[in-house]
Amino acid sequence: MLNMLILKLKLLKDDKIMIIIMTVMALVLTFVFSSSMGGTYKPSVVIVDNDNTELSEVLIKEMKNNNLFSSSVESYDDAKSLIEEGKVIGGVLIKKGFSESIENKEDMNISIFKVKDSMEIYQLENILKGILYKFSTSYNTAKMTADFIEDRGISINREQEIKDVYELSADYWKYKNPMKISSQVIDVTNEGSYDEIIHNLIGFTLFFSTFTIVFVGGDILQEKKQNTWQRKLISPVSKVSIMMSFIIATFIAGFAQTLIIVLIGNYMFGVDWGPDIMVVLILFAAFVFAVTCMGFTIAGIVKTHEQLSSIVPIILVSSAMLGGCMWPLEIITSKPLLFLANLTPHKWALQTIKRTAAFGLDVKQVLTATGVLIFMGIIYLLAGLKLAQRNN
Amino acid sequence: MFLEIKGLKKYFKDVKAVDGIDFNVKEGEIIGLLGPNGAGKSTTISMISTLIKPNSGSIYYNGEDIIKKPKAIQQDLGFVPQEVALYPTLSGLENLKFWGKIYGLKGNKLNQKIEEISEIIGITDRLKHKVEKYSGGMKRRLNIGAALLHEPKIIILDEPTVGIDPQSRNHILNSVKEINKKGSTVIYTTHYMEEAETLCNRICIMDRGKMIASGTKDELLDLINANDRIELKVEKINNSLIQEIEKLDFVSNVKTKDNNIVIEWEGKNGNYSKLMNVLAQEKNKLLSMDVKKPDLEYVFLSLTGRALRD
Repeated sequence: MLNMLILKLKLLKDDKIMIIIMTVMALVLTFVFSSSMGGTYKPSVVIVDNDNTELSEVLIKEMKNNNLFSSSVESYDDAKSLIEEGKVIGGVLIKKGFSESIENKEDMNISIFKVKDSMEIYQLENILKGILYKFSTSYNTAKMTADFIEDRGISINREQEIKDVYELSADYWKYKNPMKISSQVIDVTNEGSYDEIIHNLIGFTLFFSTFTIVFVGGDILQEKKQNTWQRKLISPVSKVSIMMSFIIATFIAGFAQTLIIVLIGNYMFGVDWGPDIMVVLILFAAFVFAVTCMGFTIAGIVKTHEQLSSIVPIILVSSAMLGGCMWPLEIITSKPLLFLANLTPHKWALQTIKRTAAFGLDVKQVLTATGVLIFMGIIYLLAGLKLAQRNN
Repeated sequence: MFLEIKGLKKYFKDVKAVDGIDFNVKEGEIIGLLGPNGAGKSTTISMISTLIKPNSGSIYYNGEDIIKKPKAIQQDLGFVPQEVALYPTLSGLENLKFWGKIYGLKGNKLNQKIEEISEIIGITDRLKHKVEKYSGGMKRRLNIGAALLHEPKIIILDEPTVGIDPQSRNHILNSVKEINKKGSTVIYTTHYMEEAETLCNRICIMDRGKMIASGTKDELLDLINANDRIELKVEKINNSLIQEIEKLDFVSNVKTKDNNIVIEWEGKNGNYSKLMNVLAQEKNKLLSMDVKKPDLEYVFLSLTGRALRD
């Protein structure tokens, strides 16, 4: 088997153009998306101030200080148009009576208006909650301080006093953010990172690697065409060894490509794969194994390399779409689609790699996803062997 | 018996590719499977080489049932498929090394065998070039070489000379003879009657999945009591001419088609002038004359009513 494996690795040079294109495509996307992660991409939001008080202006200032979104103040009609045209992801409406609600410690008159739900809107809601909490707490602290001083009979400039204490309080929060739990979810502490970007980055890496894996695995059809397959079958080498040499060589090619993308992404483009890159690599390896075996099955179904070339893009693009490589599964509500997503290796790899990169999962925490991917691979492998046996 | 085939059948849906054939192969001989395209030759050797399983029948190699135990023949077998089965983007040397290693050769022994075989097949000076740069004939020779490295006891060649130049064809035929001299038994399929005649000790004639005759060339000719033939093309054929020819005592059979007369006869020198005299008496003009010795083509024609290349 070793001789066959060495030969297959040697023959990978025949696929070098395809491997290079797929690697470069993924790297280009890595570069593009990691550049975005550097902070150049900020979703835009509009703020409509119908209250027009000092307090609402202070809130707007707080919102503008936020680094994750870029915001501008617009009239209600302009804001509505911008949202409808898709130029901004949504708007924050400070309703009339906002100041009174703060003064009277009532529910704040603020709402978010949007066209549809998205990850960015969820993030905006979380950030807004944090700002409002910080704002109302600081304001109430300042107001209580002014009340306290006045109760002691000390004459002060009340408005100035409230402003000074508010600023002190707000400044204190810079060092001890009371929204720490919330900020971890949306990664506020790591300013500049953006959840959707890392999602796309992993998604495209998985997507492009599947093409390399399935086409390299499809060389089995090329061997049949050039009759070397038949010649091997009548040699003393067992059929299982012949097939395993294909699978191992394909796995090595696929994993090497993924490894290059992960490492270059990490060291050259500053992509954050989380605290333990080995966990990410384990997940990628399990994914490559599953897709290698899937490719082996597909090669058993089709008869020629030409058929493979026409059927593979359909299978890989649709499974990548179902598996969430193109958009987050969090925005999918259809139960049948979510069920189908579970049947794709992409979903298990993508979701778990994303969480590993974001929350630093350890090996134990990714065992389920790894196990599912390996299980999928084994099922595909058995199906592929059965098909190969039938074809032979 | 070295190789014994009995009642071998292989059907592909409704097509009876091989329909119950029996034959034996003796150790050290060159046996030819002769027949037109679609006769079942390739299917037969695919079953002998363990590539496909028969629907029924048995194949015994040195007393072992190779349908049940393919491994019994695989190490001893060198198979040269009809199509070139090599890696075109690798060099000839890399190809030979790979196929040698598959059969367990390594180190000095492998290098020595590569040197020896590449001389036999005549590609020593092109070994380091990529196979895709080889001519068709060279690819065929390398294709044979890859099957010889492990000194197989039995070599099966499936129409190895189809579509190549006469020089390469001669080289291949000479190589086969040389391999046989070194002790290998050869099964050679072809639809070229001349190759079977010159190369093989025994010939099995196949047609439409059946074995229609087997034996040495002489035995096959005896089967049909073949005489020499002369084919005359004349200006016109009339009954009196045919009757006069049939009256000649050295003529055994006369057939006509269009303006051609095929005569089976005893082709001695004096008989030619007697035949020409008949034509002269009948005032018929001779346009062409073709003298034919009995051959396997004629045997096939006699047994099946069709030409070998139909």
